[in-house]
Amino acid sequence: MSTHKDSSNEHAKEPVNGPANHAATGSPDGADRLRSERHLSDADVAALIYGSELDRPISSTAQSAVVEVTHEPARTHVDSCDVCRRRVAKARAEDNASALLLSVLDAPAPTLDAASVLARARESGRSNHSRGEHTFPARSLPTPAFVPAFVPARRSRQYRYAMAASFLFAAIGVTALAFPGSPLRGLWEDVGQKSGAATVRGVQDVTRADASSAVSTSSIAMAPAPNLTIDFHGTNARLPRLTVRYCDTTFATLRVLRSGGSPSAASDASSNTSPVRAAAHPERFSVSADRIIVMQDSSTAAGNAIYQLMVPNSTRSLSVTARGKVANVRRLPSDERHNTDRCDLPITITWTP
Amino acid sequence: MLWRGLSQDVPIARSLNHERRVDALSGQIAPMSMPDNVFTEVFRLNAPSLFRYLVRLSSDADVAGDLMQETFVRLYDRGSLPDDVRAWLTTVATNLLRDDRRTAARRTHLAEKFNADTMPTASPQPDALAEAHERRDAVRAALAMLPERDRQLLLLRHEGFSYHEIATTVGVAASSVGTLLVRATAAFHAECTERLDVHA
Repeated sequence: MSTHKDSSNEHAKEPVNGPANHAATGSPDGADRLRSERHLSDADVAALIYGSELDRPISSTAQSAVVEVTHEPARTHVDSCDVCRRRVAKARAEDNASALLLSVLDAPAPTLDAASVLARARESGRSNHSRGEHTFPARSLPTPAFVPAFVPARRSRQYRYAMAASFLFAAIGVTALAFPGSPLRGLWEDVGQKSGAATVRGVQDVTRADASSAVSTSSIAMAPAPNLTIDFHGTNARLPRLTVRYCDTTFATLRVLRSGGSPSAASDASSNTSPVRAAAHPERFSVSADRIIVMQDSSTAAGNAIYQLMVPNSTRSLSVTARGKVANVRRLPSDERHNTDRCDLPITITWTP
Repeated sequence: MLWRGLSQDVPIARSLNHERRVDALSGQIAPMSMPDNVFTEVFRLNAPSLFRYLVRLSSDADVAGDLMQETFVRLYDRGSLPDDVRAWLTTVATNLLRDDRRTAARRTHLAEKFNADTMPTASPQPDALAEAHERRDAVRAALAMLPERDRQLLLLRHEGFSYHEIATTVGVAASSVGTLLVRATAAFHAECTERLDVHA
């Protein structure tokens, strides 16, 4: 019995049977007396009429049994309260009358048996199957007890996710490799150096070469080993003028500012920054991981050539040799290595032919 | 207990679930045909009540018969028994009736317009038949005055549905079914009494 202070008309019209009257006739127990002082709610009335069951079918016997067990306080209250007694009686009469009134609407059931419905259902099922409308998504049904091991749609979705993730990682990797100075690019170059493979690029035209094959170009770039050697070769090789610049980069770049192979280059010594005459007399380079070999073909003007070398800060030592002899070896101090982002350090070459 | 159909017949329901298979190409569960004996038993147990509910709700025996048949066709197409057969059937039938009324409203409008022009006036009925008609019309009108939820509550209650089934079908909390039911019954009874007193 719920504690419902009913504001119904009966309650308002019956002051004699109100709470004060209940208290006067009250029960010995305080709680029961408090409950009995309150009139029944609609839910209590419904429980007394229909039974308080939730999932049991309504029948007169079951109803009475349920009321006996679970609504003893309400029934006790009804016995002692005229208002609620009349209210329950009225509700029960209305329920019975409603059943009779509703029966007026009844009509004789059609002569329809299960077989005819079954035939129509099969016919409908075939037509739906032929239109492809008879299947329904798995999620609309409860989880079947039989779960197949192979569900193509589910695996296909996972496969698509995996492919999308792969493409995403590949795109990120390529983008990171494309940016100079990115950690991934540095890692890639370190791995390349450790494996001994030289990455060679021409500055103007990208060229790959190994130590055994010489390439003709006006400049060349490579990912150097920590110890880099520039080796001038030729029958009458002479040391050229070489300017070294230390940069925050990952590639060592050797550019020919003035070619020693050109006869006219000797008279053009003042133009250090003039375009390289590499097209007519290109220098020949051979590169490996720790060495750049410059082939000087012109014996007379080789000494007039001007080179510019850009070395990454990570290079620990730089050596320049001519005809197999060490012309100059200079171990770069740490402060110069790391604080010479744009500093030119001319190398004084002492070479004895 | 028979009213609950086969909803508690766990072995049959489980066996139907076991027979479901997933279509290898479409990834969808292919429907399984319901065994004839199961379908026949469900029909036998639920058809009379469903028809009565539909007749009272629609006030049209022909419509009720058609909708009942369509409801059972859909149950067969479903391929398996729902957890609560009776609540499922009632919900589907109510939705079908709702859809049917939308189209019928348009149809009726056209038919009435046609009949007013072409059909002769109906002949007067005998007194007893006329009184029955008036009583039926009064009850029908009183029922129509109720909100749809109260109408369903009232009809389901008089079909013997439990609180839980009513709550599932109508979509209200089971704890409030009793309260709503008492109020709907009172409203229906008052409306009927008033209309019948007027006719008397």
